[in-house]
Amino acid sequence: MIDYSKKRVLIVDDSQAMCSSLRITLSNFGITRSEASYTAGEAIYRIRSREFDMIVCDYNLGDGTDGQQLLEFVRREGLISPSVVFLMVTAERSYEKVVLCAEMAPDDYLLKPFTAETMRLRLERVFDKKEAFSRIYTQLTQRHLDKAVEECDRLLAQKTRYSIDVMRTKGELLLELGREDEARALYEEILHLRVVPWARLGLARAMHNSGELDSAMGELREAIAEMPEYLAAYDTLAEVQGAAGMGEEAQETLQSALKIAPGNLVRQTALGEVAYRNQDLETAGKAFETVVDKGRYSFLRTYKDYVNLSRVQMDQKQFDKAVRTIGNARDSFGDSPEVELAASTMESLIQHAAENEAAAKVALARALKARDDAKLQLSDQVAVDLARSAFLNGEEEIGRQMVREMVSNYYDDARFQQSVRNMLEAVGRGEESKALIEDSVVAVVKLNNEGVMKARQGDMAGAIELLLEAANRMPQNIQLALNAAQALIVESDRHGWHDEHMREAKRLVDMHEPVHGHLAKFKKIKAYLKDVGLKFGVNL
Amino acid sequence: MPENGSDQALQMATLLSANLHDTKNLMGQLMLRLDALSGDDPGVRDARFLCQQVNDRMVQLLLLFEVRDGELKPQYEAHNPEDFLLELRENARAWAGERLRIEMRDDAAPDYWYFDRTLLEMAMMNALHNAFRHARQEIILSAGMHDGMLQLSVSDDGAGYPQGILHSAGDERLPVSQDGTGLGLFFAGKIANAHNNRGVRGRLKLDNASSGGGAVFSILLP
Ligand SMILES: Nc1ncnc2c1ncn2[C@@H]1O[C@H](COP(=O)(O)OP(=O)(O)OP(=O)(O)O)[C@@H](O)[C@H]1O
Ligand SMILES: [Mg+2]
Repeated sequence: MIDYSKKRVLIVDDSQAMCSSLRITLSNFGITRSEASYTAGEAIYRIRSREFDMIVCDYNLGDGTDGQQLLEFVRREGLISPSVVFLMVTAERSYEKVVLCAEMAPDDYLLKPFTAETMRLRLERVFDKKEAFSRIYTQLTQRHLDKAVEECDRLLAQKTRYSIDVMRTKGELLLELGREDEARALYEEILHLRVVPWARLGLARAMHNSGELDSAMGELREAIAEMPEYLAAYDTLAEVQGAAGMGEEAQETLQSALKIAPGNLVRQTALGEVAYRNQDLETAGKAFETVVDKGRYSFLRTYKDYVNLSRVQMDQKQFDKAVRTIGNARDSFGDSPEVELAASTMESLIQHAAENEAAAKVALARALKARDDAKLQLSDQVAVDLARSAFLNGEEEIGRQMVREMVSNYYDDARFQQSVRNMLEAVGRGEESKALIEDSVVAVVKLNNEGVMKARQGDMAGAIELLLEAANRMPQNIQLALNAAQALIVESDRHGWHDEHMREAKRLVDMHEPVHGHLAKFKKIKAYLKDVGLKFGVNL
Repeated sequence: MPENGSDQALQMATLLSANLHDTKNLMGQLMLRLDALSGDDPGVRDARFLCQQVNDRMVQLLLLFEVRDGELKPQYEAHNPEDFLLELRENARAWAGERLRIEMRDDAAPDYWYFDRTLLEMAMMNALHNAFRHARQEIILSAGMHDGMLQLSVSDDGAGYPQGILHSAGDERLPVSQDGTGLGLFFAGKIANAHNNRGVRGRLKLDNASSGGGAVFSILLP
């Protein structure tokens, strides 16, 4: 039996009467520690400020958002741990379709009206499932993904009633770990018996990750043809199309999905970004406008929406509007260094475009100050914007330095390099772009080679010093990280265990696993790390 | 304006769905409020049963529209048959009180099966209501495998289905009882048939094969 007296529950429903009915029902089960929120925004606030064991959420929340968006937000942002029960309550049978077509599902859902008995049984089941999964969740919260997979296998071997849920979790973990061959086999096994939407999506992802973009797109198009409301399939298809350089198609895909579910602001933002990359300013502008408008009272809103909109308005030469949009961002989001940096950067660009040289320079100075004062790690888009402003406002050397840093950091990301190249074209530095980008790449490659050479010549200390320093300076650069990790491990392998260095190697590996776990070289280094650990009997 | 007709239709549809949404919410509250009262009082039990019946009628009404528009599309999700039956049984016990025993047999049931829980719940609920009317002492809910399909059954120890019904197997609407509409088995047939896996369709099976010759209602799901 589950001890309900210790469970903390949050009820989210825009109807106060329903909230109180639910509270009474829960208290009859022994759940006395329950709180209620009548809006999504308030619910998020509560979720951020304390821990709950369960969230009971109505699907229909009014004010432009719904329970599914709330669920996806709190799970994606990691606001609740995987062991927290999320139970959706809804009066709409169409929610069943939403569950099937979305990327994330709640632990269970109840269609109104339902009896207290039904709710009691569902709660019992769902808490029992969480209990069965608890060892998987422990590994997950510590980001030990491969151990989490081992726990999945253990649970599968026990042949519990949850095998299908375990398989779903395992598939997602395998994909995240870059073990796409195993993921593929798992999804194919499920699909062999019946067409299950999430397994189909998983299969397409596995194909995407192993570089088979055409097969992935084929699989997704077929899934959409069979189930035209399969929204998660549209999102994934747009992602694959983007990776395949099919920007126009990606835009169309997102537009089709938005026709089906116009209220989804995350997707609307994605559309704006794709359209902007495609230089379709009209579509981009409309998309970002919708996000800013509809998101005004939404927990999803961020200052970035305003910056995106303002950038489009500037490109459309609507300078007054663009400045006003940035002003609104400042008004709504206060003056954190991030907002100050992004807003001032945008202002400097707008003022320059409007030929207010002096104002542009002042804004740029403020942006640079914000960056240096708070030592901010710049996001891609802000970094490109800031470099652009530097070039335009007479700070060419700062601009060049930023380009070098960006390119060194992402020197194997072609899409990012393209946007840097576009930026340089736009500021009339097209002729410099080749030299800047290529030189930076060459410089990193040279540094890298030097390190590797030292290692080959047996100068492990020299190699480590060089590579580790470079890896820390360019934290997104995967090649440097892997070579540094390799040098660190080789040293222990040859000369005996060096605890600090081995932990450093582990940190580098863990840091890059989520994005680069699928690379063959990554897998090799990770295995090497484990082997050397075993050799010295240390469990890292 | 040529658009007028469809505008009006759209407005009507919006009003309808808003009204419906509210009705279900109110119904949801009513049900939970009734459940919060003590179940020892037979009057409360009756009220719950009535509430359940009003709800079933409302669900049927909505389903009628779906059937009329040819849109009865199951949303398949994996469910544990044992959990599914348990929920039915516990709810049924709450109205049955002392009058009837309600048992469950699920040893031969698989761990999970793909079906539309809401649709199946309404078909099985009707079968349970029918069994209430006809059973003498006992109703048995069971889940098992038959010809590679999941079989969900409700059997009772009453007099069994009349001949006319056995032959029709829910193919057409049967206005048979005085207090019913004869829609229950009709929908059960539609619901079973709408389930489909790789070309294999589900079906409704009615017979009087229970030990005492009582009615056995079964739905087979591919
Ligand atoms: N368990 C049973 N034992 C004997 N006869 C039954 C049983 N279940 C149904 N029947 C007969 O089949 C008829 C049709 O059942 P069905 O569920 O379709 O309609 P109903 O119960 O009369 O009306 P509704 O379900 O709309 O309330 C019933 O009227 C009854 O004569
Ligand atoms: Mg009936």
